[in-house]
Amino acid sequence: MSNLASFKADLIELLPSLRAFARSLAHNPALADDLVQDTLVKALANVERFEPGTNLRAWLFTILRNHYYSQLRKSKREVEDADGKFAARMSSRPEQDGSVDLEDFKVAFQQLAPDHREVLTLVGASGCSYEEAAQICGCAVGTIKSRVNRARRKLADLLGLDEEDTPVPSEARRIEDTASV
Amino acid sequence: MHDGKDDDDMDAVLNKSSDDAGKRKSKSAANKSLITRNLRMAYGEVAGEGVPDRFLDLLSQLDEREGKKS
Repeated sequence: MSNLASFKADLIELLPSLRAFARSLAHNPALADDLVQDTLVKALANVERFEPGTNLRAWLFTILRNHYYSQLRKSKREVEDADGKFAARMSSRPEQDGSVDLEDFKVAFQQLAPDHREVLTLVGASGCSYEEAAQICGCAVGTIKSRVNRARRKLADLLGLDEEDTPVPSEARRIEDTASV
Repeated sequence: MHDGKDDDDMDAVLNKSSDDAGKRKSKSAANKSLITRNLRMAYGEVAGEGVPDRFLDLLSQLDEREGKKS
């Protein structure tokens, strides 16, 4: 197989995870797919910069996240407004057995800051190593590790999960916490 | 002066605090696995959807380039 043909085959194989990563950043499915589309256009324009044999997933994820953040900076207002449309309320408290409804989980997840959503998705769901996540996010491995821990604690708090032996936070405290981070 | 009572009290305190620490640790571990499980489910939902044709159409540009090259 030629380089281009194997590049294409590898790209196609990575499309599902690229879409899933995009969706964790841009909650709106249409916006997320636009991110994927732009990422592919950029990847195709820069094919010759990709060194065969290096990590194509990290390369693509990096393009996608950089594009997402540059768009976020450019149109912060619109993005926030758009996100606002999808802001929803969790329908229920965690169950007695500690399980949570997946839809409630998604609502809580979307309330996290983008850098928290990003590390949780990379490390927790996509199967990236800390090193790979650090490469994609352009920061140190230690930064990724501490960010993952903070993001997990924050998410547990948003989900109303009892992390330590403190009383379950009241609605008011949860809102205050969201605003301060 | 040493009647063992203080030691027992101290043990009780130590045991209690290590129990609490153990509880905290297991709670935080349980939360961690719950979060990971849900992250994977949410991610898997999207990854499991079919890939839109427009992406595959876009990638067919690579075939054209391949054709031009040879």
